[in-house]
Amino acid sequence: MEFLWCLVVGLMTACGVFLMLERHIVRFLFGMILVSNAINLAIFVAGRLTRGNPPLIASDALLPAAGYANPLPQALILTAIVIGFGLLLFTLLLAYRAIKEFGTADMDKMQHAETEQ
Amino acid sequence: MSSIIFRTSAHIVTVLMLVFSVYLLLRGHNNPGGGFIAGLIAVIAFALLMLAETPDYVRERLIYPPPAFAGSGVLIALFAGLLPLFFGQPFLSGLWLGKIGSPLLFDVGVYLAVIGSVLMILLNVEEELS
Amino acid sequence: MHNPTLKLWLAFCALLPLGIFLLISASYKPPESLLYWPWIPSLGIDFSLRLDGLSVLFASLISGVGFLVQLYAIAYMKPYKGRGAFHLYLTLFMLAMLGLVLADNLLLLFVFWELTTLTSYLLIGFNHEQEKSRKNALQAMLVTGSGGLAMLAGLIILGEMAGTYSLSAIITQGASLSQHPWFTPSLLLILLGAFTKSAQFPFHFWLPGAMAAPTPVSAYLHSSTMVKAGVYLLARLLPVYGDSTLWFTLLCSAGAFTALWCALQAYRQTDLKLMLAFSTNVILGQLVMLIGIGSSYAITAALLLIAAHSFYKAGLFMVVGNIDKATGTREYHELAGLRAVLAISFTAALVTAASKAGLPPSFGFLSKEYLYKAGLEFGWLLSGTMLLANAIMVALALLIVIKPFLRPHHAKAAPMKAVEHNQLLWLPPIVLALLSIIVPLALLNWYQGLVIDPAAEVMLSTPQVKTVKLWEGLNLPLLLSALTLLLGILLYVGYPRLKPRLDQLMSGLPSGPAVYQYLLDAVVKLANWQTRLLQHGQLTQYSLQFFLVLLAFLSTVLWQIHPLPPIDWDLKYYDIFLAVFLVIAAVVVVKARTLLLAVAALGTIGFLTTLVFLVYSAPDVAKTQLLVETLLVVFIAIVLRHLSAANTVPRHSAVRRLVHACVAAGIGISITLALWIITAEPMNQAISEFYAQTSVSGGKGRNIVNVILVDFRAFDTLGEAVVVVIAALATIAILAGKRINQMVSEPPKEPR
Repeated sequence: MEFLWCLVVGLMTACGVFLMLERHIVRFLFGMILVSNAINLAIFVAGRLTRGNPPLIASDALLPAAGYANPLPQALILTAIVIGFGLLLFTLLLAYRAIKEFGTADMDKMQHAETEQ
Repeated sequence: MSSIIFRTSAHIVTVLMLVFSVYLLLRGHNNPGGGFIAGLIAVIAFALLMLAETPDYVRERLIYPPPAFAGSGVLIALFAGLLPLFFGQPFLSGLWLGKIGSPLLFDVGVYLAVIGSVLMILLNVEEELS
Repeated sequence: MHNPTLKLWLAFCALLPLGIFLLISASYKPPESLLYWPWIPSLGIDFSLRLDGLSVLFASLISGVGFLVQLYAIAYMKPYKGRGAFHLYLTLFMLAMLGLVLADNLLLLFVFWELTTLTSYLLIGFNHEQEKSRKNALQAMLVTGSGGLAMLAGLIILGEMAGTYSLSAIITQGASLSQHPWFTPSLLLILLGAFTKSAQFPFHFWLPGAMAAPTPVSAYLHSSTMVKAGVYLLARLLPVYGDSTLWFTLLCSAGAFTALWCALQAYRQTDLKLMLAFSTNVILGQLVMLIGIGSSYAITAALLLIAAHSFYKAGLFMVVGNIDKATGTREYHELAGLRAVLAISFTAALVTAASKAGLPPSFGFLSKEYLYKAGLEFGWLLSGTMLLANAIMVALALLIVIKPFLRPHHAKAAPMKAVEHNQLLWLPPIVLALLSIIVPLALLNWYQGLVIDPAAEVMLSTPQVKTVKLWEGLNLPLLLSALTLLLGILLYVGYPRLKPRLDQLMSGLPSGPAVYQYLLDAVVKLANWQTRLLQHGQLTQYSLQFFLVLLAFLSTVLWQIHPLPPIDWDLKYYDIFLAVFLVIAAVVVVKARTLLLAVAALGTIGFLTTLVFLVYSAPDVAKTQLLVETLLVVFIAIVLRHLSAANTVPRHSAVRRLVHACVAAGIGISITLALWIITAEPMNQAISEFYAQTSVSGGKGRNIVNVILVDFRAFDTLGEAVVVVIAALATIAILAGKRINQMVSEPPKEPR
């Protein structure tokens, strides 16, 4: 079943990358969100998929039930989601600021900073 | 956004969500939950309140400015990490006193840091843009 | 000096070196003492200090001369701005230098080496209002700094060859490393560091350039201490490299040539300070040559010359500083009759110049005798070169004494004023002059017991040092000394005729600073060229370049697959449902003509991802994803509401979009393939199993993911919380920046 998700992750990444190559800065941002979702999924898939056995330990046990899901990638992804969130917000407002400053959302017209010197 | 029904229910829902977020924070060590999730729920609660009222209203209710929450969160987490050093253990090892331990304190720090940072962005964005 | 804090600070700066000097003398028990603290044990870096004959010689020169220079600087720097900072730099330099000569660890030595470079940059560029100071400071730093980098590589190779970074341990291994294939590269790299630091040809030019520094700096860094760091390193590593022919050849030729070349240069100078700077180059060349020879005579001569030169050169620099103070110039032909106002300085000049010229019974005479003894062991070429260089030193010594002091004052000479009422201006040079006489006359046995014998024991494999005597009867070296004197007097007398000829002869040659400037310009040109080429300001070009490089890296995966792993189609209906909808939503984001539709599709993707996490047993991740997705959509909605200009952006040309599609497809396929291969391999679950097994017993929690976050890997989480806070603060800065811009720079009527 992992193979299906390999396909999905690849497709999502491809869509995200295509968006990140566009001239519209907001669409670039959408591409970034898509890629970050896809990569989180990729880490998840690389840690193997388990159905219906979360890494929790019953209150009367010392060990999780056999065949429990791999907890380490979950912890890593959880961290990645929150960090990604912070950075996406930052990028979002950076894009907002850039659009306001340049009066356009076209990245090819945003050369102000480079030519000013 | 300013219908009376929405405004009144927003207040109630905010309080409920805040209680729920503290519940998720405290039970996080043994069940799904924890500092990040609880913090995000609290932020959503405040976002609801902000939409029903104004950013200033939320700021008043918070008493301390959001950066103070974020900063104290990081400091609390750091403190929880430094505490074991006084007992001759490495940085960030868990110390336990019955059911309460330094990892819980650490999670509270994370909780506050998430609330402070995201609220900081949310309130500023709303104020700047409108 | 009315500021009491400044007064206190100056007193501290002056007394610190004295205290260190006393401490070193007290804690040194020949042959050696070792002080040791672990610092980064896992990398084998320890804070270990080593006191033996060699390092004690340097350490006591650094602290002793440092004490005198600090005193002198208190008087000399009085009219300058920022005196407090000057003394701070001087003190920092001294500490770095002490660390350098005391360090017993190669990497620690390198750290201090670079610190001396940095602090000397601050000191040379102290008069930073002048362009020349800044330029020369940068020149000194770039030359010695790049040599230092080469040396770091050399030291690392040496440490890896020896299997230890401890100097003592490396020295005990001695010449046994010479069979190692990396022996010669390490030798060359370390030499590069030592030659740049100790201003050997062709890197000699930075030292005269460094004369832009205030005179106390020249007296300290550029005569007695920093420039000798290279010599120290060479002396230190003599047991390792000394037997190599390459070492002998390189050191002797570089040293001898530097001595001769810079002696000729010194002879051409009219500025007294530059004259002294070039003659410092001469001594450094002689020291390098002596270490290259490495015989017991040579080592004795080097150990004598280091101290002798420090005393007389620092003293002479101070005298020149006083001349500068009294007249405002250092050009010797503008100076005359200074004996009237600089009586005590004149005495100091007389003695130190005698030592420079090598007149008996001065310290300089003694070291020159041993220099000749060492040179004679290796034939006439080296001795002849040294004879010529020393003769020029004699001529210069005569010039420094006679021209400014003994000529009667005349109308054309610079006006002069009395400066010697400040004792601190003449006390330090007088002390140095006295040392130049007392040590060879009265303290020679003591010097031998404390410095020469223990140092020779470390440096030589078969130490048989004879007792150093001032007077050894008539012998060949004494004859050479007499010849030197005679030749020197001739050179002085012939000076007016010889100098123009020499100028004519040497004017056509490329000078060091010119070559340096050419190289520096070339580097700047290269940087400009690559900036224009790569950083052209086209943002979408940047992203295309980025993804092309990424694709190039990822596609290496494509070639490494031989048999593709088998596909396991163990699917439930909801898997297919989720996958299909995810793909559809992703395509909708790409195809959407309006931003709102794209946002809706993105939100859908977020919630579908949440479901994926939920289905595959990750409740915590699912919750986080759900909440983050909610908030993100809220934020995007708020921002988009205020962006009306955002809808009219032309798209790339069809051809360009096709290229983009190919790049995107390539990256997607590579990631799919890579992930497919990863998941087909057997998985190492050791870490996860450890976390699961110790979650309750060690972490006291039943939610393993949470225990990992707040306990096992809490350090990551702490870092992450900090990152989120920083991102939030940066976001605020972006928003606030807009406000400031509007208030300050934009006139309200001009529409944007």
